[in-house]
Amino acid sequence: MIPSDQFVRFYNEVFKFLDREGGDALGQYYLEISKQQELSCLEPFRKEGLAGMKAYWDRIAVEENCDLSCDLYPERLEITMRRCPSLSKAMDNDAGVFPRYCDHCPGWIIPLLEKAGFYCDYDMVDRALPQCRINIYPITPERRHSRIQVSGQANSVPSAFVP
Amino acid sequence: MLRYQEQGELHMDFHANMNATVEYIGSRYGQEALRDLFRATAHNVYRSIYEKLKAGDWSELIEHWQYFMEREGADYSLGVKDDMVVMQVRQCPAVAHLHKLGLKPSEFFCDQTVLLNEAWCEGTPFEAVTEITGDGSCVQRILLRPLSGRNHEVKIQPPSGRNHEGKIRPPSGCSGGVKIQPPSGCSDECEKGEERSAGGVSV
Repeated sequence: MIPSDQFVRFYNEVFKFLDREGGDALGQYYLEISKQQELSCLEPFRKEGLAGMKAYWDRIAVEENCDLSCDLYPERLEITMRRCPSLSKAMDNDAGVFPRYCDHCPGWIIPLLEKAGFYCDYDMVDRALPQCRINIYPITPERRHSRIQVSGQANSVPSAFVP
Repeated sequence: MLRYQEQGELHMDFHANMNATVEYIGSRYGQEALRDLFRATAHNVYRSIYEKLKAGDWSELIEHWQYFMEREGADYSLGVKDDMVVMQVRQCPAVAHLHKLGLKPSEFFCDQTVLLNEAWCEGTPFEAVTEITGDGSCVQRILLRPLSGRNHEVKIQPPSGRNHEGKIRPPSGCSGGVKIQPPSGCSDECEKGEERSAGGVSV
């Protein structure tokens, strides 16, 4: 058994393997993880909206030992990750971190959010820093698609996955 | 000394992600792809465990098993003899969590254990034999290969680490339950296992 604590280091190896496979192998895998996450997230996200998402990420903050705040506003949910344990573990890893490790997160979150009727602005900040910001909004007639950016300068590796 | 020794809360749902991942990779890319992945994990992620095993030292692997089995609340026992480590898992926390979530374990789910153990022993004086004895139960053995099967003679390092009260018990998986592969000879070797203390690890 790979301990749950160390799944992300295995995940990191899966990303390397699928990246070597080429094509859209990584993107397809992210979609598979998104489907897995639907089992626990889609219904509460649809029924409870932003409040259901806050409840989910508040639980994640505790269980995954994140330094994360999750602030609910009338029109959006703002998630600020100050220390992501997932990237931190992938970096604290004798196998070395996959350079686009962070891409898996929008890779599963965005399809799930859009299926639930929401979109997001996802700022990875810097792929070498365990920090990111996500603002989630209900889909409107004016806007329905999410955006990903890497606002920091240091690691502007192009994203392998743009939903 | 463990290279990775997480503390704090647990996110057990990662076992569901593991289940989805091994099903995805195994069904699309085949079991050899899983073997490659777990080999990379065993040799590179768990490099310090692997390097020690190559040197004939299984102490970090034992410590890893004990630490994370206890951390995840497994029902298990672990015993060490001169030429063998036996871990009997009566309730795997990963499989138990899948059931709690209402998920069916993938046919590839236990490959994470079988293939990881095999990869850890590649190029070492040891051989891994993992027997799945039921739904969430298994017996994992790390055996010292006979001299003829080794490239060089090694001296087994006595295990070190935390004090552990676990003792070898007859594997409950040997009788009853769903048997995928009956553990051969497990009750014999466990009952004959001499219990002694070496460096605080159960023996």
